[in-house]
Amino acid sequence: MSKVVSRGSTRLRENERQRIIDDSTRRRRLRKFLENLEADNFHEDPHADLVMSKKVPKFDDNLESRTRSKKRERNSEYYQIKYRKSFQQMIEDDRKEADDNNRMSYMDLSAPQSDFPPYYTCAVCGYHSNYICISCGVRVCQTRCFDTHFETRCLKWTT
Amino acid sequence: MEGNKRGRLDSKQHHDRKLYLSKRPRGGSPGPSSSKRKECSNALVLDNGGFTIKIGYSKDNNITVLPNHIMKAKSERKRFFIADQIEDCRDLSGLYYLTPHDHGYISKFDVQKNVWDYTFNKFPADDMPVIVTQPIFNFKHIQEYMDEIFFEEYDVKTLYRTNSTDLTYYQYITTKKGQHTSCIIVDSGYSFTHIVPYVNGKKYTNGIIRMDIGGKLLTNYLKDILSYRQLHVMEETYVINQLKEDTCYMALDFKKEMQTAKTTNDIVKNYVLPDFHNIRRGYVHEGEVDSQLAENFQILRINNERISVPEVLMKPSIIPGIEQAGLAQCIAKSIAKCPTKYRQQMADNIILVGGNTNFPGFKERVETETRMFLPSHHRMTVFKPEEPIKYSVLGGKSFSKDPQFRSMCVKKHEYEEHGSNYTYKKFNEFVEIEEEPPKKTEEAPFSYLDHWKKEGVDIFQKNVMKEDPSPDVQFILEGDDIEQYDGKYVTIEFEYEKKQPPKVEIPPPPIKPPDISQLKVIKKKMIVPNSPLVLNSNATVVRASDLQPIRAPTKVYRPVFRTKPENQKITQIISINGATPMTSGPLIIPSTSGGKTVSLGSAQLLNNAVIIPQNMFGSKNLTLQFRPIFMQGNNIIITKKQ
Repeated sequence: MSKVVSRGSTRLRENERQRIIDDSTRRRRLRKFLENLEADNFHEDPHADLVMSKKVPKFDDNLESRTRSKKRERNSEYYQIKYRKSFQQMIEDDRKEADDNNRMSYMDLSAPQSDFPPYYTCAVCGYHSNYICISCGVRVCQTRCFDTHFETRCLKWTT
Repeated sequence: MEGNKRGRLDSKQHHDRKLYLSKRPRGGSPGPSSSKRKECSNALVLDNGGFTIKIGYSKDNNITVLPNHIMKAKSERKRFFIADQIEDCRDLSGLYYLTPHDHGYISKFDVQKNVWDYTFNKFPADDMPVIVTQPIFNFKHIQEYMDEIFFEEYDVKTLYRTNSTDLTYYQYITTKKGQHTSCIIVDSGYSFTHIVPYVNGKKYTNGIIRMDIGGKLLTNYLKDILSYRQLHVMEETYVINQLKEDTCYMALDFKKEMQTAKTTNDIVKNYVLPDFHNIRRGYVHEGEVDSQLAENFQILRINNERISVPEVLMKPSIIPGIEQAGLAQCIAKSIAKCPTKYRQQMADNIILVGGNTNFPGFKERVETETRMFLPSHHRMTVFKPEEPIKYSVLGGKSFSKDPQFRSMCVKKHEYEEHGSNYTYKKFNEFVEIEEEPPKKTEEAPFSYLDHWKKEGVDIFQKNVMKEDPSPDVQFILEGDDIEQYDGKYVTIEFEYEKKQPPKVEIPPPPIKPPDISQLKVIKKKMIVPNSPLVLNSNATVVRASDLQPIRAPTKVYRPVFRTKPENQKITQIISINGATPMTSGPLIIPSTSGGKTVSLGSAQLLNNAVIIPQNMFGSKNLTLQFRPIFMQGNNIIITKKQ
């Protein structure tokens, strides 16, 4: 049995093996990245596994000093249940109402696109970048940065 | 039920009387009511921001800033910290935030209520009027919530709900400028940056611009890049926020500073992170880092991050995926949206408020960059108050002393009587300023080139037909052919029929375009202006021998329609096969070959000729509409030629 030796350029062969992410995946990754920038916390609630006893929260004790008629006292869950709407729902409602009243709404205020070409920064070192990673479309500025990117992040956040 | 109603009415009358008494000017001995009146002049101003609550009484000078969060620490379990209770917490690492705001609008109502409970416990509103801020175009849903919680939960007697920029504007015009000054307010906060123009004393809603870039995004971005480049700090929002405030600054010349950061060590700062045992707050370590310090503490080396993070406000495209325009550009755009006569004044009154304006160099940068986008004859001044975060509360304090303030509030009994819709209408006067008449189209400066192009003058002699052999085929049209003229253009319709090929010949390959020589004119019709045109009917068929390839390798025959004599210019082609071409350049015409598939052909309009691509002749009908200029003679001859 003869050993089959493939011929040709090694670089080309490796390039073929390299996966290239399509546009929709790139867009999804970008959106996820932007969503993370809007997030309040990166980590999970550290108290999530705790079972709170009713008397423990300190603020409740503070509130008792306030003089207020008892029947008006409502706990905080009351409001979350009564006003149960997410941000997206509120935007939708606002847009409908704005259309009826012929006024501006949240969506109309958004800043327009820039008149100038975008300024790209290298995802690795932060300086001005001229190149993109072929596989995932992330901006890099030089080969060294690209190597770092390729070894650490490229194709590695995707699930 | 009735009794109840009467009781409420009574209380209302009583209230009105009280108000009347308190309003009445009085002299002489100060009675007990004067003290009541004095008490009424105090008001509680609450600026409910996404990151902090700014609160203060109008009578005293203090403004307190409280975090608008509930926080949970890793170290202290079974307890959470509301607002400034966080000062009790010793270990601030891995702080978990419960924020009531989502994109700057309240969405976690239970969290907000806890924070407000705490705040009002510290700052009781008692009977004084309360001024609360809300974001621009606050959603009705949230406004209902705020009404309910303030009137029913906190028993607020009089409420005034407004945008924080309104208060800023009030403070600016009362302390700096006169009434009705037009200005533009840049409020760069935690969740977003608003640019709000005020025209003639009122908010001009059409010019408001919101950039979705705020302090939260900047901190998160800094967290992200630091975590990738140096140390995993994704969980340390609190610490990195302090780091951002301590080290970041707005570069005056971004590109130059970046170059400095790349080549020298002038910009590098070493930031010592707190460990919450020996160091409670991070600090910038000046000078060299010795090994002892490096061993004991974690040190972040901040270089270009110092400038590139605040720069996101100016160039949002630094963060991939954000396409919005930068701050300076948005300011210029917002000014441009406003009526012309106020623009100069607005450029002269640019006010910067909000937490992000605390970046060192922010004001100077906005000044230089906005200057570039404004017309050169506009004078421009940027004003940044000493404490941009607290400025709106200052405005609220002085507004509560305004004589008009009382009439703008909503009282509790009014809310109980009319409900939430009443307050909604009262607090949301969507100001509309009379629109300017549409601008007259400005005449562009006269350009000979454009003028000649319009006239069809061929100055570069590009379109001159060098060889002009005698036309082989002529369709000469007669007056009888004139059917109809709508005063605009001439319509000529040709109909072709394909000749049957001889049977002996092998059929041509399918892709080959049909030959013009195989076409026979069977009908012609011309609709010509009701003009002194004399036309005679005399049609011949194109001979195959007369067709010559224009480009030898491709062998594409391109028939040319040409007017004769040549000084009759075709200035405009109205339509070819029903498609309207552009006035200049290559024409894109859909042609039907065999009546089924649609391919694109291109025809070219020359000075006095129309070149129509070969594949147009595959269709049965060719309709050509053009607008000729009759300059000499009275014959229009259309020549079909290669």
